[in-house]
Amino acid sequence: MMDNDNDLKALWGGGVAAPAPDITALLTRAGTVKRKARNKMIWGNLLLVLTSIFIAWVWIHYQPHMLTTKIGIVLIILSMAIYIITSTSMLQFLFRDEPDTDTASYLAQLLRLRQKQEYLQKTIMTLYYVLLSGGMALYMIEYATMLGRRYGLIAYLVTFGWIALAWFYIRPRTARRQLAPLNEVIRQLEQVQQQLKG
Amino acid sequence: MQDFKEIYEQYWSRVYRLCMGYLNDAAHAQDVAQETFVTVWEKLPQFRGESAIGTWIFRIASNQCLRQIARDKKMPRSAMPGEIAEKSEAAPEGKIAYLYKAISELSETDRIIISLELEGLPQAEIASIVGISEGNVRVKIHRIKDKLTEKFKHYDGQ
Repeated sequence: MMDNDNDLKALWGGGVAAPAPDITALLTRAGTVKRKARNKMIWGNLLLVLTSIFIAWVWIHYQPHMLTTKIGIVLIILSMAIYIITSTSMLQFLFRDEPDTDTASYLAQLLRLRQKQEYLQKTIMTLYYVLLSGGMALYMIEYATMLGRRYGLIAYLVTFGWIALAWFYIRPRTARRQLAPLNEVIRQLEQVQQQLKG
Repeated sequence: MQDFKEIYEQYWSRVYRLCMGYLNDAAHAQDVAQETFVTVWEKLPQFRGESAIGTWIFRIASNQCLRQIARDKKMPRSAMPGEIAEKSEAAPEGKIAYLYKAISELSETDRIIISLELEGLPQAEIASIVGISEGNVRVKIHRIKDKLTEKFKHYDGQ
């Protein structure tokens, strides 16, 4: 039977302890986490540069004549850039939180960040597919006309068959996989926020 | 560095207990306590003394606990070297274990509030850490203590 506050307080402080880990190890850990984030960022930047070099090379080497081809190339680069930027957490700065505010504000902040993340994921994924398929369609016009009507048509059918598969099958599946845990987190955060109001 | 070392030595156990109250898992609590001090280390140069240092540290620790909700479940929980992890203390036993278990069954914010209360923080400070009014803190602490006392009625000494 628990009688009063003092009993609870005595129990609380009484037995639970863990030796403080060595301070150097602790700070090494902080350094490792930072370094990993930085490496990912560098890798992302490198990929972006390489992609752009490759497309520039295509542009110079094949000397497209039609404007549609050039616009197509630009759209494809953009879609790739968007993909790399989001997949290598280069947008991390958008999601930085302030861990030293009070709990109520921190919860509101976490919730806002997660909602922003959800919105961004949805928007960016749509943008990526629209730019990529639009870019490919434009890019192919010049070469499809060279192939003649029949092969040109086949080339378009194959390309857009694949894009349709990606849009109607792969995209919703990926979205479900990415958004389900995020929605769960948002739901839990809202619940915790309610606790403070009660 | 000297400042940080002092803070670390002074607050490690208190922060660790808060994390234990929230998580009731020794290894996980140690992890979150460490993350707290990594944040303290990073943010210390920007600390302007707008609140007491203790209030500031407990804010970071409470937020670090709540952040466990939002963290990526696929990521490994800890990136720390194995040798530190092994040093963590064995789980508490008896009545103490029962108390921590009872606390861990409360709602998230209640766990933080009661842990800070049992840690001996004044209610005004708890209010400033959690971001609710002092009156609200008082009511909540009263309710939580009732709940804990009720739970202890079923304690059978195991």
